[in-house]
Amino acid sequence: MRFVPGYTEEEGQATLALLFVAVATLAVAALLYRVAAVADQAAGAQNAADAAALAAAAAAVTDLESGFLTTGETATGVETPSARAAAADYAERNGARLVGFETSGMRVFVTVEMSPDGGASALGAPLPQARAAAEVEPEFTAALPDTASRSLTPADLADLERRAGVRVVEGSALLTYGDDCHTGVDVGHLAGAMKVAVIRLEHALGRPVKLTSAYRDLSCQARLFASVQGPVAPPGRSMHNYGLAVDVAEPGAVAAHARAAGLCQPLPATDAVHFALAASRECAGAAGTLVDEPYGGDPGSFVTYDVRLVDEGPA
Amino acid sequence: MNDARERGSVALELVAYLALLGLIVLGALQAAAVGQAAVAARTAARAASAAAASDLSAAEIEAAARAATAPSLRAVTSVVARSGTRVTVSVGIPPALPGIPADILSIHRTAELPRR
Repeated sequence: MRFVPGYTEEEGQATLALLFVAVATLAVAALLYRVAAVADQAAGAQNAADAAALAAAAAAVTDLESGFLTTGETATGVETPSARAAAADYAERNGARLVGFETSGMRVFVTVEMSPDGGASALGAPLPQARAAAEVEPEFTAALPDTASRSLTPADLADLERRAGVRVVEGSALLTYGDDCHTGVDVGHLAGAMKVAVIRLEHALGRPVKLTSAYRDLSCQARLFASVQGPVAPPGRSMHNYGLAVDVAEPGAVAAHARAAGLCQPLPATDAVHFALAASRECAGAAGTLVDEPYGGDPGSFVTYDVRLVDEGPA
Repeated sequence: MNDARERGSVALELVAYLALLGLIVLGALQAAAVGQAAVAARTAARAASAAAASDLSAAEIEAAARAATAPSLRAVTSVVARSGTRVTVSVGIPPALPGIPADILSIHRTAELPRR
């Protein structure tokens, strides 16, 4: 460049500085684009995770309602056959794929990853993952047995004997056990029809029956459900919660007289000690509708399950 | 004459650079607007699908989608397709240049939540 009076060598630096600013601004633009892509995909992944968790919980409810109660199959929470499939299905419907599935009691935890064909690759962002948890919570739409003391009075006994058509044996389980499932076997809150069945059973046995469990309130059921590895139904889904089942110490002896007493043994292979009222739905009888107790009807009509997203806790 | 032409060239370069810089800034702003619209569309689609899963009416589903977006985007948010609980929502991309309608370009996002 030729020297021009009045101009200095610094005048070209403005153009250079502008170039730097342009490059920096371009970098900011690229960064904003990247951030936008990541935010979009993260939102999509969270939608997919939430949908998958809700779908799994909803499928588990269907299994709990239709499978357990009608077939007597053991339910161990929301880990049911169709829950995982439903989670995978809904992840896919939302452009993601299921990469993690865990359950804990009545909670389900899912992890999804956006699929390349879900738009992630097109936006140049990595495939984001998201987690979600959903919970199945029973809501009781009808009264369970009230937990007030239910000790039998002489008038109660007379009424039960009349209904059973036989006398109560000496030392009957109904007279020796209490009415609190937290401290022992609660026979006080058994449905009246179940008490009648116990009286008939003891009459057939010719002696008192030894019980290991009878009525359980929801907290007793929840404690068992969380702690016992084995055939324990979730709270609200056990016939014990409605006073319609007992567990016995001598299943062989009881099984021989169960039918005559009006009981059935719904799970002889997996839960032999469990006997339910023959009229109950668990026994594939008349769905419990023959039980003339305010809380002795069809448990399916008592409970609805609320499915909701929850904060992720430890699985 | 030569000196005068060189000085003018510098000025032209500066104008060109400034124009380029302006375009890049607009591009950056537009990228941010696209991202905002995309996330808003995701949120709106999810809200609309949740409304559909609750068996709400079409008007209520549309209202749910709009309510889930920022006030500045509500006018350009609409449900464009629905099948069961599968809902696709369109959100207009706010233009970086003022005076251009926001509904010229839009972004679509779909969500499908299960019925409960």
